[in-house]
Order: sequence, then C-alpha cells, then structure tokens
Amino acid sequence: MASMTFDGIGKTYPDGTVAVANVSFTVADGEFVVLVGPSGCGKSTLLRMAAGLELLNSGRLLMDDQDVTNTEPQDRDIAMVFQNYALYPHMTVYENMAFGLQQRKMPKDKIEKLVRDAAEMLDLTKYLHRKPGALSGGQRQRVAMGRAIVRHPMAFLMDEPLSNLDAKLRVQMRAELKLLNQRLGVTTLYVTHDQVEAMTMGDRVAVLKPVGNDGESNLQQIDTPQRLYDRPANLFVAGFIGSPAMNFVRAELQADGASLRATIAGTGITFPVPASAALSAYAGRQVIAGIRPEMFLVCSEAEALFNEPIPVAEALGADTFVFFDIASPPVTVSDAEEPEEFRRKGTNRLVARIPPVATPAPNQRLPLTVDLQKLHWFDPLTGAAIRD
Amino acid sequence: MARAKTFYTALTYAAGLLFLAIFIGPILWFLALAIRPAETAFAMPPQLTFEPTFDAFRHILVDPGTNAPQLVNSLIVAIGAVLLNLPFSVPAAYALSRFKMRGKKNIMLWYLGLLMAPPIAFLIPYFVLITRVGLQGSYLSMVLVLQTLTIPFSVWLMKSFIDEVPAELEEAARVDGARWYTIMWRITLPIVRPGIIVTSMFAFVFAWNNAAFPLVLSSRSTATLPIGTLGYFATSGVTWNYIAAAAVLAMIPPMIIFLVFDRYVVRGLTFGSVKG
Repeated sequence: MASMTFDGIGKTYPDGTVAVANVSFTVADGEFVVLVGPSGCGKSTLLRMAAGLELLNSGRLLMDDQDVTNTEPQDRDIAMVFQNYALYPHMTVYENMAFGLQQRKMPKDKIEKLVRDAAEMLDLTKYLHRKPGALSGGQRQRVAMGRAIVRHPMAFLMDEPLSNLDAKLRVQMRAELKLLNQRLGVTTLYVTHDQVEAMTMGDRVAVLKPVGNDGESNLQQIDTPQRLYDRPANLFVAGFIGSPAMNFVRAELQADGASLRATIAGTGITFPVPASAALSAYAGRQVIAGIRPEMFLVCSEAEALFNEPIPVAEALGADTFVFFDIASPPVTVSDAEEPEEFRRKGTNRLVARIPPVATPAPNQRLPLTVDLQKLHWFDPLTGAAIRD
Repeated sequence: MARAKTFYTALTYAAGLLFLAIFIGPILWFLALAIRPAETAFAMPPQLTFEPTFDAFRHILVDPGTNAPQLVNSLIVAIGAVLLNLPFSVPAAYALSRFKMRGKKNIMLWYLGLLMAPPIAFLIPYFVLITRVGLQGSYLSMVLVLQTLTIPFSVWLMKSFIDEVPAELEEAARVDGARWYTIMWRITLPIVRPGIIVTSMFAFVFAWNNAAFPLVLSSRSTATLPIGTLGYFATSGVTWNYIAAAAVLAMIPPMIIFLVFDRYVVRGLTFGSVKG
C-alpha cells in the first residue's frame, strides 16, 4: 500500500494536442480517489500514466515518495482494471488470476492459495476452470477485479470498470466495489465519466476538464463529494456535479445601503442578497448566480420571484422536475453537457425540483421562490466562485 | 408471384451450376483422365463412359513407381519450409505489429515486392549461390530458397492476425509484470493460434505447389512431385494419364490439410470478433 503523488504532470502529443497539463494532487495511502470529467478531459490518460502505459512530458509521479516517472509498468507494483476487462481469452479464470503471480516467480502452492482466497471473496470459486468467453458480463468484471486484488498491489487503477455493465448490475457492482475497497484498504484511483459513480464511490473526487488555455490545469477541484456539491470552486465544477445540473443566470449586483440587491439580467426579477465581503466587491457589476434545482421553493404568488408557465414537467415519483424559461441571456459553461436545443436564444431554461403534489398542469404558471441563503455566485470572466 | 419466385430460384441454380462446371469441370476431367484407359484419352468423339482403371496410379506409385519418392520429397520440402518459416515470420510479424520502429511501412512494402516479383527473377542468383556453398540438389537448398516466398507472405498474414489482438490485453499483461517476450509467448501467440495454423497451411501449399525453385535446385533423388509431373512431358509421346494421376496425387495433401483445418480457416478469417 502506498500514497501516490502527481506532481505537475503534463502530456502533449507529437501533433501538439495537449492532453494533460499541470496536474498536481496526492492520493493518500488507502484512499479511494475518483477522476471524473467529460470525454477528452484527460482522466484516462492520467490513469494510464499512473500505470506506466503512457509516458509524460513534464512533472513527476511519486509512489510512497519514490520517483516512478520512468519506471516500466512491470516494475511498478500496481494492478489495473480495464474498461473492457482485458481478460486473457485463452486462459481459464484461475490462470487469468494466477498470471501476475507467476510473473513474480511465486511458488505454486502460494499462488494456489492466493487465487482461491480471492475467488472466494469474489464468489468466483465455481468458475475457476471456465474461460472468460463462458462468463456473463458481471462475472467477467469480477474476474478482472480478482486479477487485481490477488496480487495485493500497492495501488489499484480502474478505468471505467463498470461502464460495460447494464444499469442494474452497475449499481450492484458499485456497492460491492466500495465494500471491497473498504475491506482491503488499498489506495485506488478510479476513472469514470458518471458523476453518480464518482459521488457514491470516492473518498475524494477530482473533477477534470479538457485543457484550453496555456498554463491552465485539467484539474478543477479535488475534494470530498459533499464539499464539491456544496462549495464548487468554479462554474465548471458547479455545472458538472449535480443532476439535473445547477441553473445559471446572469445578475446585476447593486449596493443597497449596507446590503446588496441582485437583478436577473433581461428581467425585472430582483431580490436582496445576503451581504458578504467578497460579493460586495462586485457591486455595480454583473455576476453569475448558481441555483441548484432543489433551491427552488413553491410559494404563493405574492412571494414569487419566478412565475412562469411550465411547458415540461418530469414526474419521477419522489420528486418532480419542472422546466421553465426566463427572458435572460443564457450562460454557457464550456463543455457543459447541455444539448444545443435547450439553449434558446435570449432565454434561459431553468429546472426546479418540487414536491410531486405541487406539479402544475401543462403550461400553467407556477409561483417559485429561491432559498437565497444558499445561492452560489461566480465571477463571469474567470468562472471562479465568489466566496469569503 | 410464386411462379416468378420459382423461376428466379431456377435461374440462380442454373447460374451456380454453370460456374461450378467452369471451375470444377477441368478437375473432374483430369480425374477422369487419370482413371480411364490411356488410349481413350483423346478419343473423338469424347467417351463419357469407360471402364475405370488404376493402372496410371499403379505405374506412378508402385511399378516402376517413379513418383512415390517424389511424393515423399515434396512432403519433406513443404514441411521443412513451414518449420523454417514460422520461427522467423512470427516474431517478425509480432515486431512489425507491436513495436515502434522506423520504416515499418517500407519493410512491409519490401515484403510485398518480394511476393510480387516473379520467382524466375531469383532463380539464377540463387542457383549460383546454392552451388557455390555446395548445397545443390539438397532438400535444404529448396527449403531455404522457398523462404523467399513463404516468409513475406507469412509476415503479412501473421501481422494482420496480431494487429487484431486488442492492445489492452498486452497492457494488462505488462501491468501484471510480464516482459515483452513473455507477453508474446504466453498471451499473443496462443490467442493467434488459428492464425498460425492458417499461415502454416498457406506456407505449406505455397511450398508444395512451387515448381520453379525445385526445377533448378533439386537433383534426381530430391526432385519434388511437380518436377516429376513435368518430367512426363519430356518423354517421347506425352503420357497424359500418368500426368493426370500425378497431378491428382499432388492435389490430395493440400485438400486433406484444408479439410482437417477447415474450422481454423473460418475462424482465422473472422478473427476480428475476438473479444477480451
């Protein structure tokens, strides 16, 4: 077991494409860290660098304070689970799991014991003499896990290991993987594009985005899932974490005596803002307000900040999501996964989570207010969160 | 509508039979030639019925049995060519498929060029070379020179098989602690075993059917079956039934091989469906 440190890691391909730039973070001994981000954000590249399968152009990679930047994958004591499992098709489950141990010249009886223990733990004992082709997707996934844990490596690297499973199995395996990690306490770096997986599994989650400008880092924020949700560092993280995504509106901030008032751009909607030192500095300027769907509250018409017709309501049973448009210029977060058709020109489609009893009839107006204490504020130029 | 359908089905079958006749007709005719009495070979009008006789086969295999040792020679040369071919072409294909190196494309094109060049072009230099080193008339000389054809072909074929093996499998093995030679030996080659079998089959058939190299390199005692067959043209009065019998004989080993390893050919050709 070991800690793993990425120190100013960068990777540029020969054609000039910057895949990874300036990434630094440390995975503590026994910690489960999830790398999450949209495609092209460099998360898989980082993982492959940790494995030694991909070379890096700049920075250092440390395992337990030992520089392994130029160490071959064979000589790093790590195990990797691949997205398509990469099981050796011509070997039985037993041989698949024993292969790594054989490479380490371990005596046969010890290999036998380790493989049987791992198979027991993963409920694979019945299948030890089958080949991967004769296994179901979930079983193959477990063999891939078994091949990793049987070696008792210093760290696990997992590249979207659940993405080939169907939804139900994925939820089940997610819990099993988390339990396994807690039981074994092995340092784990886990890549996924699924934020639910990231939030539920990671001790900490690193949010990455594709690099654009020079000197920018892929790494946007690394923190516990709850803190990522509660205190996103910038617009990208705020928009990426949470489903449905956080609503963004442009607002003009005005000083109002000792406090502040915000007016949503393009509308007459105005509301008092709980004053804070950081926000006061933006008085007289435009900022971006972030509203999570659950911050909306159904209220009387007199109290309403928003009172718009609801063209679309999605009833999920426990909650209902209602969508409505306000005549405010939309905020586009780079690489936000919002489809083009939702970005109406000059309007901004917002989504609110409301109790099912409050679900309005189609196109009926629904008076909504917002829990103003919880609003997030962002600098419109840098995208950074405005906080004290 | 049913009638139209029947008509088209009939037409399809007719076309199929026509093509079958074009392709298999000469073979059947040759087969018939081998077992019909010699004097009816070119009788006009052609005799469709005759008393089958195995005289020609008896002549070539038993009494005097000119071609029996040549059959053995052909087997020695073809099997030898396959055995010498694999240890060179398989690692070469692996390296060309997996390793980063300069001029990879040029090497592959050079191999292709070797395949396209007429064997006649190599005959004289090889003859001189083989004679100088004192190997003329030996099995080894033919086995060596046949590699000019079998290695390029096998490298191309094997490379395409190895290319199909997902890179993740080798990466998984690297992370598991295996060096490249272990990966090649224990992961990649076992997976491409159907490819190795198919490649060997083709190398065997190439070597088996080749007449140009043995023509100049073999001696009387090491002559292969195609040379023996050609020999009948030289004797006064071409003995068609002996030629036909020798040709039929020459067809049998490749046919047996394809029948036995048939499933590997199919698997080899649908290799892209290998999943990890």
